[in-house]
Parts: sequence; structure tokens; C-alpha cells
Amino acid sequence: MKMLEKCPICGERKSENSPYCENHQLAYENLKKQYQYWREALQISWQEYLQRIIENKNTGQWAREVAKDLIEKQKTKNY
Amino acid sequence: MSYTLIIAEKPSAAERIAKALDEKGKPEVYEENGIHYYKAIRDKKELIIVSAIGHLFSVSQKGGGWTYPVFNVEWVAAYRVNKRASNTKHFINLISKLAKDADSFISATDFDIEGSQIAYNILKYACGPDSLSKAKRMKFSALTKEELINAYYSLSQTLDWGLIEAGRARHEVDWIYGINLSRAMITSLKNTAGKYHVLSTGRVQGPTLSFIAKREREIKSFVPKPYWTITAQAEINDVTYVLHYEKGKILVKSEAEKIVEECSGGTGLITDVSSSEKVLNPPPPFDISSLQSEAYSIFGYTPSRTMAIAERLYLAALISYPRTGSQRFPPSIDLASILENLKEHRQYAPIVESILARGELSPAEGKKEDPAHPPIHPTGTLPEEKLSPEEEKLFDLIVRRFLAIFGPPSIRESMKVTVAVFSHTFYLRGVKTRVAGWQKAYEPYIRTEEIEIPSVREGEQVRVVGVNLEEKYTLPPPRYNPNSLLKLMEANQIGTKATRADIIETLYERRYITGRQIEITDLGFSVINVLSAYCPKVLSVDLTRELEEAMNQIESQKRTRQEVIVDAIEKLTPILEDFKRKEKEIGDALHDALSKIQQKQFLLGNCPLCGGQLKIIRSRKSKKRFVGCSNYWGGTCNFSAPLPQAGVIEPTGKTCPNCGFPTLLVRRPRRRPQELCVNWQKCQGAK
Repeated sequence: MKMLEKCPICGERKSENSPYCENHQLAYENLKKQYQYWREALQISWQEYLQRIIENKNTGQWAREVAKDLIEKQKTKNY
Repeated sequence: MSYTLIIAEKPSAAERIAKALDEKGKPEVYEENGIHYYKAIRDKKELIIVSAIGHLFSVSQKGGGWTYPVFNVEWVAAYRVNKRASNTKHFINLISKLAKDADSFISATDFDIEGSQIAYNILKYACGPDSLSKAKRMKFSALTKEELINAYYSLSQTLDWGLIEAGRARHEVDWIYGINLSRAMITSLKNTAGKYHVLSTGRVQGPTLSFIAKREREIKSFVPKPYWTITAQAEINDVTYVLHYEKGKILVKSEAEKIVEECSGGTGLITDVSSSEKVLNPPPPFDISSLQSEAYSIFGYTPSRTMAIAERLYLAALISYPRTGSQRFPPSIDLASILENLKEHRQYAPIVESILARGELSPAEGKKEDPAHPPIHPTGTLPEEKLSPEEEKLFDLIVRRFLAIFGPPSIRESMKVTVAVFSHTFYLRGVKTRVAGWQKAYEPYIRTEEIEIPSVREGEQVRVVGVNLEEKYTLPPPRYNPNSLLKLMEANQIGTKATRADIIETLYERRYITGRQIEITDLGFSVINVLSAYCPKVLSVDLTRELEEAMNQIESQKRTRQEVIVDAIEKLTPILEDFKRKEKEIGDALHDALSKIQQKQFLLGNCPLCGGQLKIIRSRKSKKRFVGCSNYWGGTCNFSAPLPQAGVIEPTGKTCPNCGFPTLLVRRPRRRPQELCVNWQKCQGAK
């Protein structure tokens, strides 16, 4: 029997072909989409962008959680 | 001696009808089991006036068994199926008793779907089916003496069958949808996980909750975008004014910084001074939606609260029937005499006099029409008793809106000064009311801004004393509030003007939503997630709208009640079959979601002393609840604190700014939610 894969953030079932559940995948897509605006506006890297997204009070809860997760993953990778 | 039995919808309406119809204005009052009824004499005919207390009969399942699908319905006394309706028993008994000696009947309930249906059920089930053929309909839009007497002398010879059938269909279809879908959810959870949990959805409830869930997803996944705005401070006649850069939003920081640099230390040259006028016509009179909307934005009253207050003002004969969709006055309404009566109110007298002095009365009107009732307007009657503060406020709003519709247009002037700073352009904008017009009558509720700007001429120079750059971020879409949600339901044509506010209240009662800025709860989200995954049709606006249209067709007698109910059942059957087929998956998903919610409800947040989890624990010995730390069992933390024993406790996800412990929300019935620090006994901030 195949074990169901879970979202690393909330433990919900992962969406197909996605590292996250449906909700966090939606936030992840938004994060990717909006990066181009931030890059053009501030000439910042993906990592800097994620950090600023985490700190911004207008960021939605799921988007902040995904940004934190992406930063953590990057740290683990570098480590 | 036989008499005519007149059935009113509410006790206070019965009293007003009795007083209006009795030739001496003093009907005899009788009492039975705490219920008043009245004997009035008109044209030597005895009239007995008795009231209901809203719906006395409800839809119920025909036959026993807690299963689904159930499509067989019957109408039964409300007290038999609803504990909260126990007071209806005495009303039914009294009406049945009075009906025995009545030779004719008059339905004098509110003239709308609900009112017509209330009277129909009373006649059929309390007075006996024969009474239906002997019943006439009294139609009125205000409980004033003149209107009630006119209505009595121009009775419809039969009941209003279009409204009755539409009302019955609406109740039956809503019951069939609600009971079957709710039972389907509860059963799937019970059969799969062996657990019972009350879950519900309905024909209008589902799509409405779905709107809120969609908005919540947009908010939770929102990623802001940065932008910059530039303002300059300019000194004109020794006063500093704020000028705004020609481009409202600049999307690249370096570009914005360059503009600021180029403008700094410069002098501004006025290159243009222009002004324009805007004529603002008076607003249309209130229908129920616009009244609810205005009362929400001015007083913060929820739509259901506004409806309840308006209902009381109507029963006191101060305003016309509030559940109306009309924004146009029929010629039968004597507007001049209402204005004359309003002159008796000292505060309105000067406005009324100026309206009457203008000669011909031509009220502003909107597009919406409702053949049953005119727009909401004051009747001209003065309050007999002191109104409560909220009644006083809403009454004043309605009166002033009514007066405003007769006023001349108001004129607003916008001024724009263009200032060149080197190669860049800034604007100074002002706005003022030149002619108040109708706004004079509506003044307390006008929210326009007056921005004065100095008198300047083209070619003049101004000193720029500073240029500011501000970094801003786009905002997530706003949460719905009860008012904007009601408007959305109206725009999507789901529910009716009479039911929308109640549906929103039901979502609160079911704990699917919370807060004035509506937030969907975990439970609400779980229900929506399961329904959208396994039977999305239940959440479909189109399905609900189709059924609404079908019910409107019953009202206009283009379709029959039976046809519409059969159609609704045909639409629901495949949904329920689908539910049965997927019962296991649905049950598992619901169980999973509910378990997570339950776990979450007990977790209050991190313990600032040891980093463990603070939880709500119930003592086995005393049965009392308290807060304890998860590290207590490991022997590393012994924090504990008592909790209030009454009410529902919810974690807030926030921490106390004074001591760092998590905070919680205590909800008690009829009281404001109280935010409390977990460490409230020792926290300095709580003292």
C-alpha cells in the first residue's frame, strides 16, 4: 500500500506533483509569481525576497509559512 | 353571535389593528394564557383580532427514522419539533378555539411570502381547512390607522396564493436540502469513524460559506508587492501644503529615489489652476438592502440587527413595512401629508418647511421596484413612547433619508493646482461643497471631506520645503463583513431580502465563521474542503440561483409548487447518491479535520518558561479545567494556572506583551468575548 505523502508545513495530504498541500501550493505559486515584481523593484535575490516576505505584516499566513519553509530548506542544503 | 376572525402576525400588530378598526378606538381586551386578543366593532360587525407570534407551524419529516434521503414532508405545530417554540402552543390553542365561532376570516399578517404563509398555515391547521375558502386578505404597508382602515375596506376576496405557494415551496425545498445534506455529512462521519458531531449545510448556506472560504484563501496566500509614493511640502502664503506626485504609485525604488533627488531643493512653479463641478442628485429612498448597508457603515449595526430594529419601528407604526425591495413611491402614498406630520417633530420642522416651500414634491427614486410595498419611509406618526437609543438612531436615519429625497441637487467643486518642480509635476487637490442641497437634510450622515486649498494663480512660485519618499505594500483583499457579504449574496441572487441576514447569523451560530471582519473557522474550512472535494455542486451558486428563480416563478404563478419541489429533488438526488458512494472518503476527511480541530482547541501555545506546549487540561478529580505544561510529566516544568469554568475557550495565537505567555479568548453567551493572558494571576498587565 502506498503511503500518502504529507505537506511538510501542516501535515495535510500533498497535492499531485507538488511539495505542498493545496493551500500551501497556492501560496507557493503566489510567491513565485510576485518575485519578479520585487526583483525589478528592489534588485534583490530570492533569499532576500523570502526574508522580506516573512517580515511583511501584509503577507498571508500560508505565504509566510511557505517562505519560512523555503528558507529552512535552503539552510539545510547549505549546511 | 358569530364574528370575523382577523389574524395578525405579531401581538403588537394585533393591538394596532384592533385599535384602528374599532369605531371608538377602544377595543375590548381579553386574555388567555398570557395572550391578548381583542374585540372590535365596525359597521355593527364584530371583529375578533388575534395574533400569531411569527411561524406557528414548521416543516417536518413525515414518518420516522433518522436516515437520508428524506423527501416526504409535512407541516406540524412548531412546538412539536422545536423546543424553543414551546410558547407557540398557547397561540395555536387560542386561535383554534376562537375559530370555532367565526363565520369568516381575514389574513392580516405582513404582506409578503412569510406573512402570507404564516396566515395560511394558521387557517389550514388551526382553524380548519374550510376556513381557507372563507378567508380574505388585508394588505397594508404601514400600521397606521388610516392605512389599516383603508386595507379593511379594500380586502382581496381570496388569499394571495402566489405568495403562499412560493413560501411553502421555499420552506419545503430548504428543509429537504438542509436535512439531507446535513444528515449525509453526519452519517458519513458516524459510519466511518463511529463519532457523532453536528454538522450542517444548506441550499444558501453552502454557497455563502464558499464565498468566505474563497476570500480567506486569497488572504492567507497573499504576497504583497512593494511600491513607492512621493509627496512634496510646499509653502504657500506661510502655510505648508502637501503636494502629490503625478504618478500615484512608482514600482521601482531606484526610479522613485531619482525623482526625489531631482526635486529636492527646488522651487515649484504653478502651471495650471483648474476647477470642476459635480452635481450630486439626492439618493433614492431606502429599500431594506440599502438601509442595512447604510446602518452598518454609519452605526456599525449588523444587517440582522437593523432588520430587528426596523421591525420594531414598523410595529410601532413609525415607519412603513421594512422588508421591501422598492425604491419608487406609488402614487397612492400621500407624501405631502407625511411631510406635514413630520413638521410636528421640532428637529425636522425647518427642513420640512423648506421642502414644502419649494412647491411640487418630486422625490428622487431608484431603479428597484417591489409591487407589494413602497420604499421604507416614516409614516408621520410621532413616537408614543420613548424609543431606545438604537431605535432613535435608525428612525432618525430613515426620516432624514426620506427628507433628503425631496431636496435639490448638491454641488461639489473640485480644485486642482498643477505645480512643476524642475521636469516633474505635482498636484495640490482640494474639494468643497458649494451647494449643500439635499445634504442639508441628511447632514449627520454625510461623509464627504472638505479640503480647503489656498487661492493661487498660474505663474506664481511656491517654495518646496521637502520631498518625501514612502515605501508601501499592496494589501490583501479585505475580509467580508456582514454588510458586504449580504451585498455579495444579493449580487449573486442567492437568498431573499428577508432571509439573507438570517443565513449569515446561522453561519455564526454553527461556528463556521467568527468576528465582525468575517474569518472562516477551521470547522468552516473543513466543511467547505470536504464538500468541494466530494460534492462541489452543493456549493454551486448556479444551482441555488436556479432554485431561487424557480421559486419566483411560483410567486408569479408561472410554475406550481409541486413542479419546483420535484425539480429540486431531481437535482438533489444525484448529489446524495454521490455522497453515499463516497461516504467512506468523506467520513475519513471529516474525521481527520475534526480531530485536528479538537487537538488545536486544547493547545494554547508555547510555554515561555520551558518551551513546552501549554494545554487545556480537565482535572479527573474536580472536573475543572486548567492550563498545564506538556513538560510537567517529564518533571521539567510545573507551570499551571486556573481557567474560567464558564464559556468556550479559544486560543488566539497571540502572546501577552507583558509576560510572553499565550493569550486566550473566553466566549460566553450574550457577553463580549474576553481576551485573557494564560498567566493572568501573576501577569502585571492583567492587574
